[in-house]
Amino acid sequence: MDVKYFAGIDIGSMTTKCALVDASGTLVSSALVPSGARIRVAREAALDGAVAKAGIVREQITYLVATGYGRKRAEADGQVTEITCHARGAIYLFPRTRTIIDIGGQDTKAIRVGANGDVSNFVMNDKCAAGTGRFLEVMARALEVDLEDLGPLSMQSTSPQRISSFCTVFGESEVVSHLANGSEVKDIALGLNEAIAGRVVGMLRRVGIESEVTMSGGVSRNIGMRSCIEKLLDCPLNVSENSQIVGALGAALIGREQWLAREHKKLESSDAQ
Amino acid sequence: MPNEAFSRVLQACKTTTNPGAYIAKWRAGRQDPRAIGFFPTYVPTELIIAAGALPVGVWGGSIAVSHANAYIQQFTCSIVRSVTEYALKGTFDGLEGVLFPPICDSVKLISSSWKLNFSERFLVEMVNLPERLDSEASVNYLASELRRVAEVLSQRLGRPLSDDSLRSAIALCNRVRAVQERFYRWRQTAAGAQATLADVCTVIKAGTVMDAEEYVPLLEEFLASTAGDAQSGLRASGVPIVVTGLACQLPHANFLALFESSGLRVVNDDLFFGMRACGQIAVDGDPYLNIARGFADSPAMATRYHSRKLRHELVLDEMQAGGAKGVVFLIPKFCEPEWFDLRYLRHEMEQRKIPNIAIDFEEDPGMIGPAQTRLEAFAETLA
Repeated sequence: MDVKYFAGIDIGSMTTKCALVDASGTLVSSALVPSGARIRVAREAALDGAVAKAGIVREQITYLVATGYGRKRAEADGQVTEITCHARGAIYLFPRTRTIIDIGGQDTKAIRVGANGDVSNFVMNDKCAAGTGRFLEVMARALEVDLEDLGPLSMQSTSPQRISSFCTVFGESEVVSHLANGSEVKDIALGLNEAIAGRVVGMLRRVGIESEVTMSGGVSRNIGMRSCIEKLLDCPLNVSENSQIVGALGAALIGREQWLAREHKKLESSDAQ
Repeated sequence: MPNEAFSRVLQACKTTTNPGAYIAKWRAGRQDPRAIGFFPTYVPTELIIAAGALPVGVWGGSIAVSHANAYIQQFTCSIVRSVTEYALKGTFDGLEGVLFPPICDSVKLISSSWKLNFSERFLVEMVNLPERLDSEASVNYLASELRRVAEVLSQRLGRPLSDDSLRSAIALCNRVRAVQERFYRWRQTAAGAQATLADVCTVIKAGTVMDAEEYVPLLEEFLASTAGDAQSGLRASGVPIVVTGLACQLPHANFLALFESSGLRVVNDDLFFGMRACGQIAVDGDPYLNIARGFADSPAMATRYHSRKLRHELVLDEMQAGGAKGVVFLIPKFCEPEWFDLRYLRHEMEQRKIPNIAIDFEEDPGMIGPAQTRLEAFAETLA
């Protein structure tokens, strides 16, 4: 019971992620649950999942940091933006990371980091869902394929169908009209991935691209998207099996640091007395 | 909120947030009171005052645009769209006319559209400010343009506009600019830091609507009361930053509040700078030439180039004066002058390793969550 753990909860628009690190700052477990409409329920479920996987009890969680768009409404010891958390998490997974691209359900982020994980520059997409996970989800539905199949399917194409609409609603209409005109699903899938990749690389150019580049977020699981971005960047992407929990991991690591700093301060003040 | 004296100033300034109501009150008891509107960022309001009228800033706002859709396409900035919506709804009907500066293509074209569509309701006139500010020819040109506008105003209002009345107007506007400069210096003190960005903007924006004869004493009295602020024991919190932007309009107060709630403290800004930039204009001599020279000597903004002082130099001055750690570029969505400037400005900041971020906004605050995340992340990088 005395062993301490630190939790990071990343409450995204589609998925809530939880990561636990131990006192040495090592990742011990993680869990993902759909965010749904109730943040508190998602927080509890993600936390329960990570705790169960780690084989610990909730009381061992010493400090919890919330991040993601739902961070303000989540009960936590600290709240840190997903920009800072992704930077910290990416450096943990790939210490030579200098540029991060994160494509989540609702937003896309391009982040430049220093060797210590400090953010030096970043950009985020605007308030619409253009080129995000939600966009791909809608397109997969229009194509009548599973979201997970969109990447492998696009890899089979050699003749991409160009997609010009980034608006999710217009994009869906465009996809439907291509289907009606007889375009193959794999070609449309590649066209979608290429269109988003072009937009994402444009964002990366705004912060400046420096190797190594790490990709995170749910869309990093799309092998076709990764391939398109790598072609445009002309360099490989770091993608971890934990790519979806990068933000939560960063939050847990920051939580550990915040707790240590707090304890240090307590010691200092008791020494002074 | 710093203190009661400032609360009183704020309350007085907020009476101008509905210009129509303010003008109606201002008219009471005056003989033949007239008001002339002006579109930001800069119009020499001295001309309006010298013609015996009240200059009133024509600002946009958070209004659902419906009527204006028949005149302007969706991808025009929300400022032009909302101002036109107000005009179509009759909000500016109490004005005798509106003067426009040629600050961007949208404003140039919308002023033409207004002239074609609203001329029966009020005077619409462009003050053709020069593009280049770094030559004597520009000064002479502007002086002649100001004489032309003075003649137009004089005819419209049926009143003479003498050189002496223009000199008096320059002196009055100098007092406005001087008291605003002092207010900005107060804002950089620990006591002044308790005023939010929204508060500061309320005070400065009021200066574009309120009668200068009322506005100057209001601020002078307040600033006199701050003499003992150094002993207040107040401490400023938040990471000090500078906000720079064109500010033909400001974001909604809820949006402005994000700066403080994100852990940032705005120690300086060049919002509304167009009306503040001229500093102290010479009173003696040819008043038209003096106003033209005041404009020509002012630093560059997104809408005026070839100045003696470049825009990034102005931002660096603002940073130094306030001890800022970073810069936020606050840009209206679809604002071409600002977006075209951004690359150059960020390059200048990055060369000096000054952290910076660009945040765009529209009149209607809508979803402010993404902007909040950006500002908080920026604060985290500076902490």
